[in-house]
Amino acid sequence: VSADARAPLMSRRRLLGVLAGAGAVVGVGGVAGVVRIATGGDDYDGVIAGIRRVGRAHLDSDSTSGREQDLRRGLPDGWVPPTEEPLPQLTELGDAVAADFTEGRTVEVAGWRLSETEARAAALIAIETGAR
Amino acid sequence: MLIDARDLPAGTVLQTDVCIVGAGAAGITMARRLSGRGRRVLLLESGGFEADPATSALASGDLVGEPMGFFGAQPPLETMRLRYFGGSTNHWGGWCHPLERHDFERREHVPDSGWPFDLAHLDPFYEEAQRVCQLGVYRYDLAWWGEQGAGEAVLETDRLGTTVMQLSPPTRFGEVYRDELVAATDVEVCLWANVVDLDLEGDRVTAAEVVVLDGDPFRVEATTFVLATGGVDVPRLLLACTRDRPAGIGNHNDLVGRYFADHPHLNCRVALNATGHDLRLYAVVGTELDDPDIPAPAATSAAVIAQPEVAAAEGLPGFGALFNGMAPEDEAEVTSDDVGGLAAAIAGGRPTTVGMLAVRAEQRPNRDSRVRLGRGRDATGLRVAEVDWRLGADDRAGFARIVDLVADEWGRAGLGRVKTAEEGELVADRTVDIGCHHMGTARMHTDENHGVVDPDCRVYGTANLYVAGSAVFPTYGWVNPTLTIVALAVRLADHLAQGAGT
Repeated sequence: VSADARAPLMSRRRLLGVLAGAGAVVGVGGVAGVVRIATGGDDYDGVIAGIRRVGRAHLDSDSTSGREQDLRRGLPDGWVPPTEEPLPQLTELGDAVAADFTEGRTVEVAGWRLSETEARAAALIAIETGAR
Repeated sequence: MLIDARDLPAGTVLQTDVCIVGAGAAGITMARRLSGRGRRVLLLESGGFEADPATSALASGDLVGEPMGFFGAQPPLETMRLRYFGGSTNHWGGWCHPLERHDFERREHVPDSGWPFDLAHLDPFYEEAQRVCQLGVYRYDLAWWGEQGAGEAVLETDRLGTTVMQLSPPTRFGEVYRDELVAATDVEVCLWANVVDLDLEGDRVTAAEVVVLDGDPFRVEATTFVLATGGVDVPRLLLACTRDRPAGIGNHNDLVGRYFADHPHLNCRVALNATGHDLRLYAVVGTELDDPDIPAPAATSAAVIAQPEVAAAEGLPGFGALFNGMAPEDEAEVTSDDVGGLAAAIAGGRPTTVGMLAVRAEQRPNRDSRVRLGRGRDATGLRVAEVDWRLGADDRAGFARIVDLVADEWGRAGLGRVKTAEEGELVADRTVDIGCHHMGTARMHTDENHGVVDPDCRVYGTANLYVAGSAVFPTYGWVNPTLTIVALAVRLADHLAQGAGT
């Protein structure tokens, strides 16, 4: 959690922890590893590898979406899937992704609720980078 | 004054004005509140000041309904509540929030919903409960806490809101209030006392029959009796008292033990695009207000809720979603980090904050969800409880809509992504965790055809028997019940102090 130091009336003295109480999420024995609370930074390492895994899972779950023509549906004309980081091309999809969620054009990829546009983009990246 | 029931000789009869059965949050609150107001109090506790295996075993029973997960496993019934001085406050997490305004209202899309009074009626008692639970000022509104610098509600959208929660230290009632009660001249605390039967003369309870595991049985005679033993043991005793009422006390309409409820917890992995956002508000963070005259809670946190008008228009169950930055290792083929990286790249920033979203949901009142008497008996001879917890199809559908709402809204707003299914099964359809918040089994209603207790918490069909605690909740909301339990206990104590039940 990014800690903003400004505290006009209340000073927050100590971080007590984020285990959300009895029955909330994870048990004492269930925490095999504590997932970090990311704080920002400039490290892109591994992002495209992760996107590739998302794309591959989408391809595996939808046989029709493997056709590039289908995958490009809804993406900006001439959009080129990035193959290395950083990934500025993905910011071009922001409006389409938001519209997908608003209008219910969503898809479950490996259990995650994603917009169709971002799932297709991830699939194209997977194809482009040889993951499939 | 302190009484060790193991030392009482056979044939002992203790006499008092108000006999409170159970020294948990409700019982201790009532005894404290009644002290000094002209009525002698006897507070009976099944156990001692520390946990004891033999006494804990008296809380065992049969779980025959919906699996009740807790930290991923099915806990035995005797571990869900604690049977020694302080009761379940001995393992309470301290999360507090009053029920919301609409929880008290009758909602057309929630059958059997509503309370006999509104939030405004309970507000003064909540204020006192804040002090009892060692919380801060009775404020839960986001605007006020925002003015105190608590952080911004960055996870809000036009369909999702945020509410602040306060955390008690948590107050271990048995430790914090023990000396005060033992020192009180008009309160007797009696340990190791297990009530197994109630004597009736007409509509009056005249005595409680008490069994002591390592001692002789005795009786308590009182003008007023209060059962404060929780949502499982209140109906258990009422159903077991068949000597004068064949169906059990208060059960002439077959309602005792029905409407048993808990708070289902749905656990979803999330990847929040936190870049540029301050998520402090949603973490559990200790507080200290600059104004020393304003009491501060030990900590605050915040839950994501539906905007009230959205919840009403769409008939959503109540829910509060808490973000938790700790999560089990994600070993899936596609991890939270993978999805978070994609979402963050689209949002033009990175990295994401990954973790779990614990969605505490409201269960609809369900007549078929119930506590019955099981076939076995405990060491006192009392039949054990059989808990048949049920979630209806409407509950599951509601859970799915909650998860959909959060997943779609955060996606639309670019705030993050939600994992709605695990291993091919919707989170909403999986075994849910519970809060061990046993509620509803002696529900309050203005009409005795629909309730076990009246709006004053008096058991229908009796003149002087009352119930304190979450058993009386007719509608449950999503918030943790302790603050409301304490508020109702304060309210009932004030009622009895005015001479009710005599």
